[in-house]
Amino acid sequence: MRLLTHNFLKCNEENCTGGYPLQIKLDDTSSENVKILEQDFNKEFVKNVLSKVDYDVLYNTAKQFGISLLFSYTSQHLEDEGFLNSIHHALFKIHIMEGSLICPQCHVSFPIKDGIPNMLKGN
Amino acid sequence: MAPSCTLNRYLLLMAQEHLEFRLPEIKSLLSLFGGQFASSQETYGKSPFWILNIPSEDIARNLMKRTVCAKSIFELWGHGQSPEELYSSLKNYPVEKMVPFLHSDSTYKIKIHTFNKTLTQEEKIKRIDALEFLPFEGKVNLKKPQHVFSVLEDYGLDPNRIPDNPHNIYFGRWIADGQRELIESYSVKKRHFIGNTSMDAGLSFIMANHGKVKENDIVFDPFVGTGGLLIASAHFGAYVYGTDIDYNTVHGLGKATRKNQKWRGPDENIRANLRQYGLEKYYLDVLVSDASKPSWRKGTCFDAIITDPPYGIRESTRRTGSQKEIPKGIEKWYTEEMVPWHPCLKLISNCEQKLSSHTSRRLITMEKVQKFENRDQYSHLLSDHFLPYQGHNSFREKYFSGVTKRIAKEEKSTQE
Repeated sequence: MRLLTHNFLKCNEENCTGGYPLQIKLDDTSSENVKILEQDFNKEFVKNVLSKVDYDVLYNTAKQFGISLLFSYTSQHLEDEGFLNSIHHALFKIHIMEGSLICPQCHVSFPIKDGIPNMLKGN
Repeated sequence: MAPSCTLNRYLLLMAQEHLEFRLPEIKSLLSLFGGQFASSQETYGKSPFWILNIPSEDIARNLMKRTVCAKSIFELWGHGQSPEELYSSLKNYPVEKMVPFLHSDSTYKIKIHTFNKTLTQEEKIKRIDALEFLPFEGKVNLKKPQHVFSVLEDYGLDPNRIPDNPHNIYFGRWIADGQRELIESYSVKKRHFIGNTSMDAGLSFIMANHGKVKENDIVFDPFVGTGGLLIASAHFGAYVYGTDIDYNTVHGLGKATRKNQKWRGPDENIRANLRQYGLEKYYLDVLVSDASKPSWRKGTCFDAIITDPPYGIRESTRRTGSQKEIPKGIEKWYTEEMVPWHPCLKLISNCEQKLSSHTSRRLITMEKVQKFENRDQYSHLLSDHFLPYQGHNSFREKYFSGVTKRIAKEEKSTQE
């Protein structure tokens, strides 16, 4: 699961109203619970996607994985390849392989196995 | 004399397949490229010959880079219902529009195509010779001509009643072919990962075209299965998301669908399917999820949602809740006349595909025209379109009742 996807996911439990963002918990028993994979850099796509993400959530989540993004950005940064590359890295190259997504409100947990989140009945 | 204000007329030669899907595909693609569908022809019906006005050759070429319904496009120089009418029409075509392609430094060839009739070589040559009055100054080159001109003769659609003379004859400059070869190169037969319900390659490209998918879009399929619809969108440069309620399909596990195979191999999953076609970089993520209980937060925006939801006959129907999701453009197959309605969505097209003698399905395309406000949540209840939706169950009953009646008949006849 990429951080881009994490940015769009919320808790889907019936009466839960505050389930965003979901907390990422890695599975410590797994040897490769996070992978960094190459992804072709597409400048236009990164800019396009940046306007759709919740930047604060991205900033905080990236920090969890040791990535220090700019705290905030302006339209000038959109032409800065260095900035766009850091966004590209955070959104696309980090893959959560084994772990779970935990709702901060109702504490339901959605497992991530082999990079794929399971959003069916949380437990 | 000032040149007449001629609209640029083009002749599309359409493939005779998925007849109802053709016009929406062409309209959607023209709209995608800034053109608008304009034609003096009232309807096209079953004919493979469509005359359209297109603002520029660039738009015509862009159309052909996407369409799987059209075989070729020609710049139309003349047409008529008899050779005389054709020649007269050609004589009225502005010479200044012909000259750039006929000058002495150029090379060309003329092809004769006949539809629903075969001509002898001699008959073809006669027709080419009859065009001598055209101001061709270049050299004929049969192997690699710079310009190809075509005469197309329409002998109707009935192979049992071939007329002596064609109904229509067209003459045009060939511009480009469509993308029909994608149907073979993306064929499900050669695909690594398939399921029982994998979508036919041609239809998946038609759906991506109806959905006006373009480069750098994000496309979502909430009933992704083995990812066939995502492949078509990725081919057109979109990044893709998929969800499915079936854990094994999403993970690429379990029993294989192919005849001689027992279990799925390691390269059988959605990502591997994209990798097979060099499209892996467009794979964003897949999730195991119930489409009626989406996990997307407010503000998640997909450029298109393209899907083939279950009809309740090959999978056991699960009764689940319902929530409204508002994407930019959505298409799904529906099995009833009941077309879904929502104030934020405008119906673009509704195409029927026959599946058997008593069943068909509909591909519905809708476009978002209005932003979703909370007050829109229940507006469908006020509309006269709204009837309690019993679609899936009644279709399921009708489908299986047909099957059981047939089995009962067969059993009866074997007993007699």
